[in-house]
Amino acid sequence: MTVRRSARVVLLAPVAVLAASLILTGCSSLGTTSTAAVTTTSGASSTATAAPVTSSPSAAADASTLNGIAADLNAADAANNEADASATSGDQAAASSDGP
Amino acid sequence: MKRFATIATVGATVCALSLAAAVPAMADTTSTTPPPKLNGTSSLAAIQAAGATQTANRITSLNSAIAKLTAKTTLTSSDKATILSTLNADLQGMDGLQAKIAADTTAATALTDYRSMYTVWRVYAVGMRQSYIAASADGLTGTAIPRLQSAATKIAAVLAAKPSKITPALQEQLADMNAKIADASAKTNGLAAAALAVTPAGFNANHSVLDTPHANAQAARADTKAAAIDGRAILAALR
Repeated sequence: MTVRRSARVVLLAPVAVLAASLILTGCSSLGTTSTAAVTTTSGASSTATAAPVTSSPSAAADASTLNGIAADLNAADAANNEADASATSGDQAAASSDGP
Repeated sequence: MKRFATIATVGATVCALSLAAAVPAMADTTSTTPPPKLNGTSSLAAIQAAGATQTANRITSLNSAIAKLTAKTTLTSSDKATILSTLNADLQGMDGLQAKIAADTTAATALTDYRSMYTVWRVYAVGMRQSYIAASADGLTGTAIPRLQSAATKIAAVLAAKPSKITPALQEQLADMNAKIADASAKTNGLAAAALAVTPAGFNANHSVLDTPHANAQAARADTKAAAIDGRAILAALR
């Protein structure tokens, strides 16, 4: 009788612990939720990362356009300066006496 | 204190001498004093001395101008060819005239040769002056104006894409920029050709013949500078 009772305890105890664990942790549903949560978090994170990626080409295009304008203005300034230098040389020539 | 003053004086003198030495190297013209007034009573020796000085000045100036204008990348190839043809012809002419005046045996002949610098050649008043006006004009038509037009087009595109950035001040600046570019284009239209068409004979007939091309080039440069200032102000607002 004692032996039978001990055997029953030995067999049932792990089953009970396992059942309790399943009940307390809600293993399958928690796992699903957990996975979903990870996915959602991951999705949110991915979306958060995607926003700058989406706006970055636009910002880069803007910067590129503005840099293009700056390059045009720099080239115009350089040409203006060179035109000034030519004009100064021409004025020096005109100021040199070529006689009557 | 006295020692410091001496050092300062020496330093200032060295600087002054350095500048004095540098200026002639940069200048295209070497005649800082007017040529002597020669007439029928001048001696052959005096005419020959003046002839040697004045032709040498022009040879130096022409060599400098030829080097500068050859290096210019803003000149159109046809204008550069015309300019270098004129200036090299002037250079050959001055070389020949220098030798001829030195070899003249009478004051009358030497005086006629000497005066040809101011009637036939006109190196400073025509050849060099017209070349630099053309170079200035080509720099505007070939580079400054197209790049300003490009900048204005890009600015207009940015404003069209982002209407929220448009302000009355920006609109006014862009309108002014476009107006200045248009004015510069009008003033430089045919300017280089007009300057290069002037001859010593034309100058002898009308000493103001290069004044209009000169004034147009000057006004066009003022326009392109003002347009660039407008462009930079707009760009600063867009950044």
